[in-house]
Amino acid sequence: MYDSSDLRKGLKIQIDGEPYIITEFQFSKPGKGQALYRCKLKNMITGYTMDRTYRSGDKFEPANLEEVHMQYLYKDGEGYHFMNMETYDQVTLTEEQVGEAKNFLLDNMEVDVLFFKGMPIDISLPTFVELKVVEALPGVKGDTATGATKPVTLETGYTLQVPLFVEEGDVLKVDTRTGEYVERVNKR
Amino acid sequence: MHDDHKEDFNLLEVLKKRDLIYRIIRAFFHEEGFLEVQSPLLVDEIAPEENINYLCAINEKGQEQGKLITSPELYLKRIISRLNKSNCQNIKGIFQLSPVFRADEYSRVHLTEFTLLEWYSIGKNYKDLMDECERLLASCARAFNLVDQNNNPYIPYQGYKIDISSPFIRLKLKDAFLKYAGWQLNKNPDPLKFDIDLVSKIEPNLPKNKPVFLYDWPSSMASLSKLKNSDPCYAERVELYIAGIELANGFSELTDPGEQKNRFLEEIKKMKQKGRKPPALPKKFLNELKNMPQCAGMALGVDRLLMLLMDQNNINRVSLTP
Repeated sequence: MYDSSDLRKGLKIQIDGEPYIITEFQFSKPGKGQALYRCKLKNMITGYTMDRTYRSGDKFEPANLEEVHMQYLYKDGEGYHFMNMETYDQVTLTEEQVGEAKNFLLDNMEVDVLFFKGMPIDISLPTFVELKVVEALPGVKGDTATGATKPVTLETGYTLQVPLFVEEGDVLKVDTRTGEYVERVNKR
Repeated sequence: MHDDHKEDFNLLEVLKKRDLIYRIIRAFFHEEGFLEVQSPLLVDEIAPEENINYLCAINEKGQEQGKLITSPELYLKRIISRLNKSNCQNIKGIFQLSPVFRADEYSRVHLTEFTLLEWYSIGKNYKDLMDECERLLASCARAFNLVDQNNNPYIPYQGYKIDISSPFIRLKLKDAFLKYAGWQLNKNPDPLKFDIDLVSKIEPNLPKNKPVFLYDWPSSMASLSKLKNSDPCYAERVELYIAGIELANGFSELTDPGEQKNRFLEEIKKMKQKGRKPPALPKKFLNELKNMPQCAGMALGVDRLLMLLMDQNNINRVSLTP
């Protein structure tokens, strides 16, 4: 069981027998008032979204999902194909089911595919992935001002803001939860 | 947003601004005739308040050794009560600048341990507190060089220009509810509906170009506050909001020990109904309260004030050890 204080963005809970993911979360508490946990929830099967406000002491069932470690194979007109590395079984998820994660998926990457009652419904990426920069404007030499950024494109086609020193060919560590740059790692 | 990026966190800047705000606050209150005090942080009595969760300190055997203050209120009121008894009445009031602790609070504007400024003005009421807040904030903005071309203090915050010159907007809470939430406040509003509308309809829609005082709160939501003589359904309580952020809360203080005891018992009852463990009735405080003169007290979140003055949207960004 989860408690209200466990609620956060990305947590998966069960409501009326169906799995929901918290897509937005805000804790509010007037100084003398009660703590409120405001959530935007997305039904992981239908995609239906709703707003709910919870209070201290509310309890939640974790979503009844099975996680299977799988390898990402390729994308085609049908969707994104993954393979169970022990049984060699393959499953396909639609672009909508894969969602934002498509920005970080590389062929052969290992991820967790989430199943609800035997059906694949979502994937769960590692928190950090390392991806190569394929397109970057040259940085201005000697510019060390903090906070200055420029856009670069990664090998998955995803574009993000990075510090000026990043160059084409660099490998970056990216946080898949926020989609943000973390650091430059050694060149691959 | 790049909230948590370490590379643009400027430790030296936060260090300097924290040091400055402490000096400004102390200079302001000394100038106004107040004395600074330090209550213990580890105490045996805290006020039972339905919606404030306290932390206990335990020793290595797991035995409780005291509670961490959620505000220095009881201690400061005891000092004022004793001052009055011994006729040391030539001071205007007392103030404290210290950490306080509230369990289970975490968000972009909440920390479990945060810095609270609390002051008590002897002989004053909640309207006087509003004037004091206006003077204090103008002092802070000026010390941070936040003055416009007409020499008026202002705070540039998240794209808004907040005019800090007196007077601030003063709005009765019931008018705010009618205007932004569309319903008539009564003595005992449903607490859930009240809090949800306060945070989702009122706070985000308050004017952003001027600080706003919301005053006269339902009596059920101000257990240490004096009730209005003209309408005891409401308490003489005021909250200051800047850019939708709750910055300070104050009352004309309740000085009647009998009534205070009943209000605490009411809070204890509500805590028990929720299955919570209320603290014991604060007997030392209640015994000394009979000597307390009329006074008004305000508590202001110093980290939130720094957020405003430094134009930061996350309280961690004004902490020295985020």
